[in-house]
Amino acid sequence: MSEVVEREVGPRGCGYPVEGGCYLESIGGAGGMLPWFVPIEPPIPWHFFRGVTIVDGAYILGQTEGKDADYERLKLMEEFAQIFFGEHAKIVQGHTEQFARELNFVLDENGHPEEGGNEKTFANAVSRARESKNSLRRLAPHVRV
Amino acid sequence: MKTNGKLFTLREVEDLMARRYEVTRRFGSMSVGDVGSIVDVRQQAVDGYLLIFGAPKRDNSGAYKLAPITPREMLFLRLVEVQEPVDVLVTCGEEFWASPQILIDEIKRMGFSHRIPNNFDARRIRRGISRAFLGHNRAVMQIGKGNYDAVLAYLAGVAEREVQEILQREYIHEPSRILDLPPASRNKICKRFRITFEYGIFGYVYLTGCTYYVKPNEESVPEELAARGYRGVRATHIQEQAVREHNEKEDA
Repeated sequence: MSEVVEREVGPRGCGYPVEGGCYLESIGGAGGMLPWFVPIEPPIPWHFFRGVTIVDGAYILGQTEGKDADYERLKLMEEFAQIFFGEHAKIVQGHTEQFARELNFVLDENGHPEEGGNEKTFANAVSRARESKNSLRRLAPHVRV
Repeated sequence: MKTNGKLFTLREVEDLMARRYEVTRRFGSMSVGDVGSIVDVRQQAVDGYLLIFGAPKRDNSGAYKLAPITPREMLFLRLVEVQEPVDVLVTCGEEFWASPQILIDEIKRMGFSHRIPNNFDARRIRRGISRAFLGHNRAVMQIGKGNYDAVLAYLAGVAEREVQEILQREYIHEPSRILDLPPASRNKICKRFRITFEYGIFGYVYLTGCTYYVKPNEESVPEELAARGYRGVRATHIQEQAVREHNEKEDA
């Protein structure tokens, strides 16, 4: 039996959620680290799909002219890389997603869980990860100094 | 449904797109050992779709090499990591959000939520890694005559209060500025500058999970949904004004 959470829900463009319905959600910045919305500028023309389709996100972002959306994420990841490897750290070209994934694992391993994390667990996980050779080894292949 | 041997049915497309494959035999520009997925779909007949397989180049440039793939060539692929996190593309209907900016404002106010089929496997959505790319029927603007600066200069000369207010507003999705104009002004300007809109992707959000809204007579999430990774929520409906006031309090 899984636990049920009580929540106040406001109306959206498509109305209130339907009881008995399943929903994808993005609420908050996933532990306070990530932006709520990342624009793709300019928008990419795409084939119309109705509803929800599984896609290759890296391929979609690869289609952006100038890769602005990638750029924003790259800068965010670079900030994290600099926390671990100093102010001159850069993400290896094309490794942004790999670094992001490893970073998530590293933070999880060091006590900042994907769910239920807060600023305090994040700060503690970062300082623990900086001391951990294993964590740095995970991140290092995706960073150049 | 039959295809001519080169095309896939829509049902096959939906099944194949969700997965990652390793190439076991050369085809097109793919070499043995390349790992990729179905990245693009092109409708070629009423019930037939051509699939494009894409794999990142091995030079770490982030670029992809692409090759059309036939049902026969699917035998040259081996399925890997079925349970890895996935990204999704969500189409947001223009009947609910007249312009992408309206949805962006809603996301900033309340986050993002979109109904999915109950058979969707929520375990493949990983918090903070999976992304929902947002598509809208009017996300991409094409200007057939002149450029966007000329459009803005023209709008600046329109002596209509609502138009001037829209010109002053901040827009993350710039084409929405045109979509939000009063219908008469919008039609006029679209005709003058031959502006058209088409379907496209205008941004993405990081997903935090999948939720099941329990029915009044349910105490918990049905077992088969809980096993597929859904969390239960009992919703109390509040008015939009209450959401705004709550956000304003938090900001303060």
